[in-house]
Amino acid sequence: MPAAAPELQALAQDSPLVEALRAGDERAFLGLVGSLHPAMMRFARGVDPAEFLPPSHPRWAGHWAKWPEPWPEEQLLTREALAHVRDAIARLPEGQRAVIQLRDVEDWSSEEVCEALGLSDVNQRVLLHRARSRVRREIARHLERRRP
Amino acid sequence: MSRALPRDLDCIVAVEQVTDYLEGALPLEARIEFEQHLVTCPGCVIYLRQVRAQVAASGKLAEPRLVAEEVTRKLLEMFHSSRGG
Repeated sequence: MPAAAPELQALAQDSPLVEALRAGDERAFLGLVGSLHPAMMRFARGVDPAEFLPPSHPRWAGHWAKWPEPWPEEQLLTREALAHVRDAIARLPEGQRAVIQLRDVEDWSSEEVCEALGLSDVNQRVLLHRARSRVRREIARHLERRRP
Repeated sequence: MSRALPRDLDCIVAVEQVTDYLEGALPLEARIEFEQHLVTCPGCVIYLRQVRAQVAASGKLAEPRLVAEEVTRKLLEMFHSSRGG
């Protein structure tokens, strides 16, 4: 687990807010969600935020800074590229690795994976999403290095 | 840079929905919004295509021990159904 985000540490000291939340104050709740949103987004994210224009961008915030380079897909099936895919999967945290291995390598269904690993639907998808996003970044880097 | 309609999805949000989209897990409205975004955004089309290619490539990594996996899978099935599952 990463260390608690500064937003969370601040919250722990913010007892009026905690009291308002206990009292069921919706505005306090929405304010809290707003303040935590950046931290939650960092946690959920599978992609590299640096690939997108920052929130401060006047017109295209959150859009691609530069479109991804299309992959030469036949090159992805070479022995060398496949070895990179295998290594990238092997380097994933355990939960992500188990899910992507069973789903994408062994071609199990999501129901089978949920049952075998004792995961909820949602958790299975979150792990698969993070795993695929990370492996995709590794492949993109590999293909970029090979580009003339 | 993407060209998009005013109420379009942000790409950074769209790419986080790619797995749910491919899994058929997006609610109808979100699915329509996602597909409309693709119409306006070549960058996200490329991204989606990359993920599909990656999944196809991963499938090539399956080794002969798949036979053993197949056995494991059947055993798991039998195990669960024996428990009345």
